[in-house]
Amino acid sequence: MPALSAENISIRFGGLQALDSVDFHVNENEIAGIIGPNGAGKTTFFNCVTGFYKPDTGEVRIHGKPVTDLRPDQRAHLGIGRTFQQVGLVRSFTVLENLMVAQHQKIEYGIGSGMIGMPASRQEEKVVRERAFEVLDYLELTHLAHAPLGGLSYGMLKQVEAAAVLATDPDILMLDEPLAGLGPEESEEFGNRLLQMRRDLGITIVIIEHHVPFMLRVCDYIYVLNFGKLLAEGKPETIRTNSDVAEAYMGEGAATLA
Amino acid sequence: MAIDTPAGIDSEEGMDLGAQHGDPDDPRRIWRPSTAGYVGRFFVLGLFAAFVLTAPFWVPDTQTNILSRAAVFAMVALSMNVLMGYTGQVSLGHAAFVGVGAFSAGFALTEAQMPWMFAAVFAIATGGVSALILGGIALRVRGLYLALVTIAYGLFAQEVIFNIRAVTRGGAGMPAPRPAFASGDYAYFYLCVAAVLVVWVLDWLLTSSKAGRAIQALRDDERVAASWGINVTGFKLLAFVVSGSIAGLAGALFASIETIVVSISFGFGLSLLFVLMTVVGGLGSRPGVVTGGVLFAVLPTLLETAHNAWSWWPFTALWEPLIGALLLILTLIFFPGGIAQQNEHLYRWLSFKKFHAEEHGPVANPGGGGGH
Amino acid sequence: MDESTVPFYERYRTPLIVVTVAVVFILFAVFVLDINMISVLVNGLQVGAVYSLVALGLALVYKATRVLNFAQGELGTVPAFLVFLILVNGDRSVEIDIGTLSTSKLLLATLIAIVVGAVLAVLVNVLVVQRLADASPVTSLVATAGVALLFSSAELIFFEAKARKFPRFVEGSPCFARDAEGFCTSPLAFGGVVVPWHTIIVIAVLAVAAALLAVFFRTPPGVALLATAQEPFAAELHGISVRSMSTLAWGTAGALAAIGGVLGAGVFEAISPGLMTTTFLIPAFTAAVLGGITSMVGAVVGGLLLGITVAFANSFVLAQNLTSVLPGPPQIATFLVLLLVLLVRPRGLLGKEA
Repeated sequence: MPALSAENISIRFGGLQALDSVDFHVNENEIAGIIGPNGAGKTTFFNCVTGFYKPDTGEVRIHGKPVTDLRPDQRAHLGIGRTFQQVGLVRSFTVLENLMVAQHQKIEYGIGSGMIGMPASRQEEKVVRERAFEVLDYLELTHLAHAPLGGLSYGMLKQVEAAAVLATDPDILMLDEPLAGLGPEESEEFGNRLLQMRRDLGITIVIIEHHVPFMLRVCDYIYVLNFGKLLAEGKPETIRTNSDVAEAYMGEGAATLA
Repeated sequence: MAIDTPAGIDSEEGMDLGAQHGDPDDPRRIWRPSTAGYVGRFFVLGLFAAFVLTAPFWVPDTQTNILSRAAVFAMVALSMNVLMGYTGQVSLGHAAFVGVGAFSAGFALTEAQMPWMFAAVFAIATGGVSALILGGIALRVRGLYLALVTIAYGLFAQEVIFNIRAVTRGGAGMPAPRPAFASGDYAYFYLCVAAVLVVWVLDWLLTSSKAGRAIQALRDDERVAASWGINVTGFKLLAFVVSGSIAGLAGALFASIETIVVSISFGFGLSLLFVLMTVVGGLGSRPGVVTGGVLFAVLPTLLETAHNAWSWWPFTALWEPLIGALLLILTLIFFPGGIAQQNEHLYRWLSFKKFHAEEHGPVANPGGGGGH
Repeated sequence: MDESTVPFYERYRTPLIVVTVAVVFILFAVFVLDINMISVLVNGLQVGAVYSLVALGLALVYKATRVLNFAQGELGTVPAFLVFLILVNGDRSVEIDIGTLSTSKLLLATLIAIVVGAVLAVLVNVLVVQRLADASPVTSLVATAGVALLFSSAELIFFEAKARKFPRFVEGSPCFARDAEGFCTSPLAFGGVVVPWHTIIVIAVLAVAAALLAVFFRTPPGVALLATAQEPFAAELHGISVRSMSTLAWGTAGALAAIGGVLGAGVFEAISPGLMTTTFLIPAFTAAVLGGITSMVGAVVGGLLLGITVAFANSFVLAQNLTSVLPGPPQIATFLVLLLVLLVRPRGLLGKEA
């Protein structure tokens, strides 16, 4: 059973067919990539999967469970974690506080017992804090723990965002343009980290990215979107040699396609 | 799949790092003041507590009730702060929630002959329930429209609900006697202060727990909060209910200051005053909004006293809303953080933190700080 | 889908439903509840036209600057008080002598008030609202609420908490016959309900104001204003100054507010501090939302509809003897209409956006 599947997803905004019968699935512990020119519908697809948009047709399943009628937070409870193109963090919080609030769905004490300060909830708060540091340690961001977000660079914020999503303890990690703001070396490093995360944490990963060589390197399977339609799909080596894909990218700069 | 502690981030590796725990620069160490720091802070807090507790002895006996009023306004400010400060929703009809609490308490005390404590609990419940109902409707709309709904609700409550004679005894007013254990003005003031303290602590617990964090997260970005598994509507409603319940309690205390509740007390002007004292105090800051609440509760009396004492002093109590409105506009334009922003360091120090916030220069090098 | 290909009944489905329900309800009211609908109409249109005038200003400012202006009411009360001051020759301690008042003096005072209203509105925009351009719309709303409070408390300090007589442009009703002592024996009336001049004047002024606005939106500055409202960035590229457009919108709204203030005080034949905010602002907000917040036609229609609804609620509660159970019928009606519109059709009857 695929970790995540989407069948026949279509959505229309006014006169624009943003997605047209898109089929997608990714197996447990695999890394799937979605590439395509700007405006191809990649982020729209993410929003349909994570519940921010309601597609006109089609069905999304997480671990086989249909989630079409579920809200984003309910889908998050089923194990979906995502990042946003415009860094998805709580701006007025510090890095540590972000990682603590991101653990929301893992916290077991009741809202009421937290509000009246039951000892058990105070105890669990310590664990929450400790777990936040574990994630920071894992991504080597511990030194930023108490930093307010205002002073961090874009690339740094993207890393903190990844840490926050990891703190939600996702089964399926969906990354929207994770390389934005990173230089070539850091991108390389980020790729290694993704592969390591998949190994260490046993998670499934879906990535949107323009940077085709990166995608060819880390992904097990790639979907190519163009004008809301699935143009091609396949293993990286198939995609590399697919002439349609190269053509779709011509306007954007064919050079990016390896 | 199961990664309880994200595996590989496992605790054994954490133990290795644990060697750093004694290191004062270790980020996971929670900063504590030195012994002298503790002494200094307790000394200042003690002075402040002494000042509050002896306040009735400093003012003429006829004005003890003004102090109780200040405590009630402080509580209303805390209630406003839950909505405006934590969730970023504006409530322009908050006098209605306070009024619901006040009339509920009056009704419970007079018509149902309940003991005062039960009446207060009843007021908390009706405040919370009315907020739940309004929130349930209002949260279907957002932003400006939500603000409009709260305005219209405030006017509706003032003109309609509070004028239904059977429930409120209309213009004549509903008696709301004080509890036997705090019937004197001094005793009643201490009751109000104790209640504010309780609400303060509960509010602190709220903000340092799961629910408070979730509420503040969705203020900044609802989509991000939802993607982390936070039920956005649910927690907004929770904030409404918490705010309404606190307002209900404030209403019950308010009712028994003058021991009678009259519908004209809860007009739109009062709602505006609540908004401006919270904004001027500093949204999101407990000490800030409480300062704002106390300030605007005592301001008319201060102005009047000054007017009587000095012949050249032109401002009477009538000037309070004008001064408040000016302060509100100046605050929004020049100091969005309000009084709290001005006293940021002091408030931080008094809450047993460092006087200066942690210094973090901009980390310019993207990714470079990752230490890899 | 192209707008023009949508069948008529689908395009206007909600308005049609509303109209149908309203008609059924009116028939029910007239024949079952025995409510005098003519009286409801006469009263409703008078107050509704004032709602419309205030709502027009709200809609205009919202359309041009995306600010919901809470001070719109007081931008009317302050000029109305100015009219009062002029008519009593600056002596606050006396009342206006309505009997000897010359209409030309009232007209002149109103003209001055309109100019002052426009200037005040522009000042509010420049000194407060534009300084909060980067803040959220709710912050701007709170700021304008502060301005409203500033004005109303200044009125309170200067004029005290009491109602003062305020004139109408023409007192009484149109009269077809008078007896020997000059009393009107045959006033203009429909079904026994006398129509005051003030109702006719308020509606006529609303019609003229709406027509002028409609013409204005076809002149170059009006077109520029609309363009700025829709695409501020593109408008700027075409050399339209967004700032001067917002000044234009606020100035016009201020003039409308002043007219509304003078006519609104005339409805009650009295003026008191905070008058326009407490009695007309919330209904005007509701009217604007009901009509579709950016629609000028919607503001007019919404105001009149709400006025009639409010008058109906008043008659209903009176006729059914429910005053003690349902105090404040206007507030009940306004609140219910606002909730209904926001929950069922947030973009309003004629609006294109929520």
